[in-house]
Amino acid sequence: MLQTSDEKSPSAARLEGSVPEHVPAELVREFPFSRGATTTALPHDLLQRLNEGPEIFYAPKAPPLGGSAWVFRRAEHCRQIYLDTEHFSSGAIWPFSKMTGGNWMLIPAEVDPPLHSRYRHILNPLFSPKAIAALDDKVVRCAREYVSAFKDRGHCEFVKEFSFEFPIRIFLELMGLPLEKTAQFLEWERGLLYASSVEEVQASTQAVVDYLNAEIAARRDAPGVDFIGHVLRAQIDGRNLDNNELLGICFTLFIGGLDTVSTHLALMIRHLAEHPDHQAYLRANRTKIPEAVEEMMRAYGGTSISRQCIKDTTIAGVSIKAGDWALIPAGLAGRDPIEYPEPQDIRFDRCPRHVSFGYGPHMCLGMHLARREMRVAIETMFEMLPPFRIAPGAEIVNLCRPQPHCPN
Amino acid sequence: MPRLKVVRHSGKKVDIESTGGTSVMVVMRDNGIDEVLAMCGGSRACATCHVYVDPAFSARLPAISDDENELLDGSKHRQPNSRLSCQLAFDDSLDGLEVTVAPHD
Repeated sequence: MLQTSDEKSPSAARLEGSVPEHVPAELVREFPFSRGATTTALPHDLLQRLNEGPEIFYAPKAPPLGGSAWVFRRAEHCRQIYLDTEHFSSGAIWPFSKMTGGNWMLIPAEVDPPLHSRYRHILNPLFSPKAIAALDDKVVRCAREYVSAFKDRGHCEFVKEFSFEFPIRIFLELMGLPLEKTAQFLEWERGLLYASSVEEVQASTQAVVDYLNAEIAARRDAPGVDFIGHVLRAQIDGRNLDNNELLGICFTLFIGGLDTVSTHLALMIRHLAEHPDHQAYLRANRTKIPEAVEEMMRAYGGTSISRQCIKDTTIAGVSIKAGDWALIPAGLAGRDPIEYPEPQDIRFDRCPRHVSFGYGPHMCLGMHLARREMRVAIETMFEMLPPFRIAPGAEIVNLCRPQPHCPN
Repeated sequence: MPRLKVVRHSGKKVDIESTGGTSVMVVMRDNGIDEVLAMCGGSRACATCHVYVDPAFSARLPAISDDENELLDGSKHRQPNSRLSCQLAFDDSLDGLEVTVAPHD
C-alpha cells in the first residue's frame, strides 16, 4: 500500500529532523510514494493529487533516492531549473560511483557546463535522428522476436517477456557487447535498480563496473565500429579519454536507456490495453503512433531527476538555499494542469511540449532511440497481435523504485 | 520592431512582430508556432528548432558553430540553408527574415 500525503501532518514530518530551518512548515508535504512502495492503482493518478497542494513543496523523503528535497510539479519551474545551471548542479546526483568507492562520474549526466558540452559533442553523433533511423531494422527484428515468443499463447506478462529485456538487447548490440550477455545484464540491472538492500545494489554496481572496465581494456588496442570503439577513439583537447571517463560514459549508456524505456513502454501498453478505443484508433491510424507516444510520455512520465542547488535562489517566491536538493518528477510535471489542461485526459492530438525527456543542456541524449524503441514496440504489437487487453483477474503491481541510498 | 515571417508546417505563412533582443526560436515559441518544439530550450542539445532560412539573409546570420553543425548533420532533413533557430539572435538587423519550419525528425 502507498502512504498518502494526508497520513502525516507537516509538523510530524519536521519532527523527523530532515527538514532544514529555512523551509516554511506550510510547504512540507509527504511525497505520495514512500521508497519501495507498490500500488495496484495507476501511480500517476495518485501523483496528480499533489496538484491540490503548493506549486513547490518540501518532501522529507522523496524518491528516487529517498533523501529530502524540494519537489517541483509545475512544468514551467522544471524547465527553469533544467536551464539554470548557475544555481543548480548535476554533480553527484547518482550514488553508483560513491557507493562502490569509485571516483568516476556519470558522463555526461553528472557533468556541468561548460565541460558538459565537450562530452556531449562526442556522443551526439551516436544518437542523432539520422543515426538512430539507420537502426530501424535491428529494432524491428528484435521486437518481432519478443512478440513471436508469446504470440500464439494468447497471453503474456508484458514487462517480463518484452519491455524489460527489449532495451537491454538493443543496448548490447549498440555497445558491441555479446547478446548472450542479455540474461546477465538483466540480473545486474535488477540488482542495481530494484534490489532492496544497499549490499545488493553495491554488488550489482560493482559487477557492471568490473565488466565494463574489462571490456574497455580488451578493446583499447583495436577499437571496433561500435559505441565502445567510438568513445575509445574520441578525443578532448587532443587527448584520448581516461579510464574513469570511458567507464563513466559506458555506465551512463547502460543505465540511461534500460529501465526508463521498459517503464514507459509498459505504461503505454497498459494504457492501450485498458483503452480499447485508443488502441482501435491507433491500429487504424498507424501514422499517429509517434504523436501518441509523445502524449503518453507526457501523461506517464516515469523518471525523477535530481539537481543540487549550488547558489541561493528564489523560484516562485520560494527560497532555495545552496545545498538543498531539488527533485523533478516527470510524472508530476506532465500532469501540471496549467501547462496541460485536463491533464488526466490522454488526447493523442495534444502534441504536448513535455519535459519527460528533460530539458536544457542535459536533455535526454538517447531520446530518439527511446522514441523509436517505443514506437516500434507498439507497431509490432499491433502488427502481430489481435487487439489486446489486460487479462481478466490480472493484478498490475507498480513499483516505486527502491534506491537504498540518500545523497543528503 | 523587427518582423519575422514564418512558413509553418501547414504551409501557412505568418508575420510576427517581435520585441527583439531574443532568438528566432523564442520569437516563434512566444507567438504560438507550436510545431517548433525547441525541446532543449536553446541549449544546443537537440535539433527540434530546425528551420530553413531565406538564402537572401544568409550573409547576415552568425556563423554556424561546431555543435550546431553537428546537430544539424544528425537531422534527416538538413538542407544548405538549415539553421537551429535558437542560435539566431533576432534583432533589427534581421528585420523581415523569412524562415520555414523544417519537418520533424
